[in-house]
Amino acid sequence: MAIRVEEKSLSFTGPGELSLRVNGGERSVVMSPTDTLLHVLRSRLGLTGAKPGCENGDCGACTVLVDGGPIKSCMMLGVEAAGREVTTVEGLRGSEVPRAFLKHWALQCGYCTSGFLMVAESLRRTHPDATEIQITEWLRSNLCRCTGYEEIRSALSSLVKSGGGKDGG
Amino acid sequence: MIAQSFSYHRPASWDEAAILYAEEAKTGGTPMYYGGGTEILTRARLGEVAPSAVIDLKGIPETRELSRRRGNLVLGAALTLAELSDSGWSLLAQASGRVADHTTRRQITLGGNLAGTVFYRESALPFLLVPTTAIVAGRNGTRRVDLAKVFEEGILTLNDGEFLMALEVPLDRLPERSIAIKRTRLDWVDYPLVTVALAEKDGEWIVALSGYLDRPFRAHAVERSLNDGMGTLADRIRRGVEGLPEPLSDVHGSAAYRRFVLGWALEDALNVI
Repeated sequence: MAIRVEEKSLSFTGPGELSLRVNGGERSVVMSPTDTLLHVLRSRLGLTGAKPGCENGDCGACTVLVDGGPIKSCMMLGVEAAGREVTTVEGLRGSEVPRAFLKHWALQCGYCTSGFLMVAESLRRTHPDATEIQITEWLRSNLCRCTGYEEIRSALSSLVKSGGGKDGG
Repeated sequence: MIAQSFSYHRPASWDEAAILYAEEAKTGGTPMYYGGGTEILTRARLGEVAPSAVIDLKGIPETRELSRRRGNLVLGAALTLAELSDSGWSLLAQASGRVADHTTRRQITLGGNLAGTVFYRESALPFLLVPTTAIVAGRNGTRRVDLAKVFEEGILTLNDGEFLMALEVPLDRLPERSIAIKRTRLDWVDYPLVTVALAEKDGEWIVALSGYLDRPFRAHAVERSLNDGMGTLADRIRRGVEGLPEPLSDVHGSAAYRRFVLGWALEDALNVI
């Protein structure tokens, strides 16, 4: 076994098995220390909702939630997710966020959509009274090459109590 | 996909981290200390760096400290730029709050921003304006040193095997009034043409800049002209900008354009403050 855990220390020196908590369940997964979280989710766990786009931290198509906050999974090692709660778009079943995106036609080709959904889910959970400024700031983390930003903004605005108004929150 | 292999270590103490580094180096390895990982992973994917081991500093309690203690604001080097917004130091929140984008700021760390090869290092600007102590750890223990002495060239320069554990700033030396303004060529999320950190301390303006040269720096020429009281504000800004070294001229903007944008940003900063 390549994994050594001593109290809070962790050494992971080669391919081996780690336990990750993904979408509310414990998943045992064989990975390498160099595997990004994106690669682990897609290739090891079959969770293909997070999309490889730029794989450079720019586009946000690979965004997932780690401990409830958005993270670009191409910019994080899979091993770093050990002991943390990972949520992918597959974990949003029952969430009102995808329904809001459908209602507001907030997708075109759909490739960026899962990343935007995760940003929206985190914003809704952590800032239910988000202002227009906050929505704008959060949306800047993701790119939509179909340029459907207004519809995406409308979907996000519908998810917060303020409706995205300037006076909200 | 990262082609080369490396091992991953997350020590729980600074001395464990230093030992891991030393042992890896002793066997011919090329260890790297690892904060948020954004730069190391990007460069490793491109084949620009090939660490044999990464030593993740986020498990070390001292690197995650955010506190006010004995008259100092203590900022752990593994705090993310997003977490710095909770520091209570508005200038630091403003300067670091425009690096990259909202999601990425949840990964980039203070130490990583100061030590990274991306030369803008905007989080350093507030620390260039106040006396800052760097707490550094390594195989020989920890040491306290003026940040200015290990950041002389605008990049964190430590001895082999050392890493930045935290920064300390005296609370009574934080400026009364301050602002950071970033100007980009086109997009909001971009590298800066120039980022201005301006503060007033003891009745004098103090200024640090990023994006203007290939390193963040204290703009003493601008400070002298702003504080000499000679001529109009526009005159003082113009003289200050003229007193600086030749700015960068690159794909983001020509030298002449950077000079213009710096003057504009300084004027805005002074008006807003």
